[in-house]
Amino acid sequence: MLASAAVASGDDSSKADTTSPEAVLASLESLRARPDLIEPARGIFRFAQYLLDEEENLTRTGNLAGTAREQLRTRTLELLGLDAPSRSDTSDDGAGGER
Amino acid sequence: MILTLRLKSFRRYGDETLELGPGVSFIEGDNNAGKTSLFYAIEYALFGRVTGHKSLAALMAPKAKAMGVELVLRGVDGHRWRLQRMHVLPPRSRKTTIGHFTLKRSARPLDAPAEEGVDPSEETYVVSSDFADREEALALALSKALGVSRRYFDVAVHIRQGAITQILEGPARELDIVLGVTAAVAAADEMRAMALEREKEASQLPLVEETLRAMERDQEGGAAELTRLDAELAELSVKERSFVDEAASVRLEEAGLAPRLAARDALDRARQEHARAKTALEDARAAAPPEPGSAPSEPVQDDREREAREARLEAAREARAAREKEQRALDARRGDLAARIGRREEHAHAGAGARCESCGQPIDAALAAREIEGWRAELATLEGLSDALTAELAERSDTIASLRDEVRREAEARARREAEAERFARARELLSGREQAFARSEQALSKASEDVRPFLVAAGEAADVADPDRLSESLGATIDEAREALRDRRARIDAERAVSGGTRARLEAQRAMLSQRVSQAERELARTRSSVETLREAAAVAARLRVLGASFQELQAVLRERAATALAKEALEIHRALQGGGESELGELRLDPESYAMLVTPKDVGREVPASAAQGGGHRLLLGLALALSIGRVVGRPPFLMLDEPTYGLDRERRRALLARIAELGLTDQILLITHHETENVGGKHVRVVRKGKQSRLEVLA
Repeated sequence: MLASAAVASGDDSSKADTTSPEAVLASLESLRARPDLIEPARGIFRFAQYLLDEEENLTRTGNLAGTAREQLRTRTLELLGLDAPSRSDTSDDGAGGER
Repeated sequence: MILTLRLKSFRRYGDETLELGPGVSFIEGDNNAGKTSLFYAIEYALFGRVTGHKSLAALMAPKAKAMGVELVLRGVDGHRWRLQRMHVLPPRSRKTTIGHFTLKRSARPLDAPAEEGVDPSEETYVVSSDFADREEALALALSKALGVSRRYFDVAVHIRQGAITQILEGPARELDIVLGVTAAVAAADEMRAMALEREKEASQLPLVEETLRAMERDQEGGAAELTRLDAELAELSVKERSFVDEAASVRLEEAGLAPRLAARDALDRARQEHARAKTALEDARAAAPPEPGSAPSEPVQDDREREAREARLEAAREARAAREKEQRALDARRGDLAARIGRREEHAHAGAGARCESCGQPIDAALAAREIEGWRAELATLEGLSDALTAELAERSDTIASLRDEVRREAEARARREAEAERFARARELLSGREQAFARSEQALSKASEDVRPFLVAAGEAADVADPDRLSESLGATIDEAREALRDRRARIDAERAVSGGTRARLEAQRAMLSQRVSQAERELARTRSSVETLREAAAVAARLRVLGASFQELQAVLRERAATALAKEALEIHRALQGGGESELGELRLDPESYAMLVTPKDVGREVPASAAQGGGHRLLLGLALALSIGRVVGRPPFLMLDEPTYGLDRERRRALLARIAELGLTDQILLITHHETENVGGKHVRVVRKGKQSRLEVLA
C-alpha cells in the first residue's frame, strides 16, 4: 500500500505512517470535527479490508456479499460502542494482518 | 525470494527442480514449451489455485493421479521456508481432487554462521493440512513469511502475459482492494445504508417527542389532581380525628356517670336490704314462741320421783331374778328326779340281775320301787313350789312393766319440755339476729343516702330530702337526663362520621382510579421516553454514521488521488528508465483517479490522450510495463517479480535493451522473466524450457 511504497522508497517509518490509509483517516476534513470517530473509523476500515481480502466475501462484481456486509455492520456498531449481537465470526483476527 | 522450485507431475513436467537466486532469471523456450507452467506452479504452490483454471485436475500431468510442487523460499525473517503442496485424484474421479499442504520453517536463519552439532537443514512445521490446518492459516503464515497475499500477488508480483497493455485502461479491481480504496468505498456504502436506516427510524422522533410532551402535560395534570385529592383526604382525616376525640369525650363523660350510677345502685340495694330486714324482723317477732313458764324446783322433784321409781323397778327386777333363779333350781331338781325315776323304771323292767350303771352294783327291784315312789313325792312337792314361784314371777313381771311405763312417760314429758326450751332459744336467737341485721341495714341506708346527696347537689337538685326513695328517684332522673344528652351527642357524631365515611370512600375511589390512570400514564410515559431515547440514539448514531460515511468517501477519493499521483510519478520514472534515460517522449503522464486509466501527453502530439490509444504497440507495451512495475513500487516492494513475456512485440534490439533495463530497475531482489526469445546477451540466469514429446524439461544454461 502507500505506506509500503514509502518504505520501499527508503522513507522513514514516521513518514510512512502519515501516508497509510489509517493515518490518512486522521487528517480527513470529514473527521476534523469528530476526533472521537477516528479510532472507530480505523477499526471499520481495517475490518472492511480484512473482509475484502477473502474472495468468498465478494460478489461477482467485487462488492461485499450479504454476510460480509452484516459482519461489517455488526463490527461497526461494536466499534461505536453500541449494542450489537455477538458473533464469533466477526472477530478482529487478521483484520490488519495482511497488506 | 524463491530458492528452489520443484515440480512433480505438474502439467508436462515429470519431476523437475529449478534452483533460483537473486537477480533476473530468464526462462526461455519456444511457444507451448511449458514456461508459463512454472509461474502456474508457483501460484499453485502459494495459493492452491491458478487464475483461469477452475479445475486443478487440468494442471496434472497426463495420466497422473497426483501432482505436487515444492517451493523453498527465503522469508522476510531470513529463514528458509519450505512450502509443499500436492493434489491427488481419487480413484474413479476425473475432476475432484484432494489437496494437501505443508509449510515448514528452518530452525536457523539462512545467513546464520554454521555451528557444530547444529543441523542447518533442521525444519519445524508451521502449518499443515495433516494437522487439520486450513487454507486460511497457510495464507496468513505465507503473508507473514513473504509479505505476500493473494491480491498483492495478483496486483504487484505476477504480471501476466497480455495484461501489460490492458493495464493502460485501468488495473484490475484488486489494486483498489490492495490500496484500501475498495474497503473505503464498501465502508462508506455501509455507513450510508446504516445511517439511512436509522434516519428513517428517527424520522418519527418529532411526532414521538410531541406525544411525549402531551403525555408529560397529562401526567402533571394527574399529579396535581392527586395532590388536591390528597389534601381533601388529609382535611377529612383531621375531621375524623375530631370525631374520634369527641367520641372519646362522650365515653369519658359516660364513664363519669359510673360513680353516680354506683351510688344510686348502692342506695337502691340499701333500700331493698332495709325493706327485707324490716320484713324479716316483723316475721321473726310474729313467729316467736311464748316463753316456757316452769318453776325451778319442779325438775328436782321429778328427778327424785324418777330415781325412786327407778329404784323400785330395779328392786323388782332383782327380786324377779332371784325367783327365776329359784325356779331354775327347782326345774333342775325336777329334771333330775324325773330322770332318776325314768332309769329306775327301766331297771325295774329290766328284771333281776340288772346293775346300776353308775356304781355297777346289782339293783334291787323293790328298793328301786321305793326309791321311785319317794322321788315321785319329792317331785310333786317341787312342782307345787314351782307353780307358786311361777305365779310370783308373773306378779313381779306386771309390777316391773308398770314401773317401766311410768319411767317411759316421764322421759317423754321431759324430752318435750327440753324441745320447747330449745325452740324458744332458737327463736330468740333468730329475732336477735334480725334485729341486728335491721339495724345494719338502717345504717347502710343512711350511708347510701348520704353518698347520694353530693351528686344531687352537683346536679342542682334538692339534697335535703330524708326519704331514700325520693333521693333515689331524684338521682335517677339526673342520670337519665345526662344519659339522654350523651346519646344525642353520640348520635350526632355517628351521623357526621357516616357522612365523612361516605366522603372518604368517594375521595379514595376517585384517588384509586386517578392513581391507576397516573401509574398507567407513567408506564406509557416511560415507554415513550424510552422510545424517544432510542430514536434520539438512532438519530445520534445516524449522524455518526453519516460522518463516518463521508469520511470513508473522502478517504477513498484521497487514496485514489494519492495512488493515481504516485503511480503516475513512478510510471513516468520507470518509463523513462525503460526508454534508456534521456529526454522523455512524454510531456506529461497522469492517471485518472476514478479508473487509474493512464493518460499521456506526448510531446509530439501536444495534448493528453489515453495511453491505450497511443500509436504503436511498442509504445503501449512500454507504458503498460511502466505502469505495471510502478504498482510494486507504490503498494510495496515485492519479494520477487514474475514477468510473463514483458517484451512481446518488440524488435530484437529493443527487447534486449528492455530486458537489461528491467533488471537494472532494482524493483526487487528477484525477477523471474519468461520470454520465448533468446536472451543470451542479457546478464542473469538463463533457464531453458525444452519440450520433448509430451514432457517438458528444464535446462540451466551456462
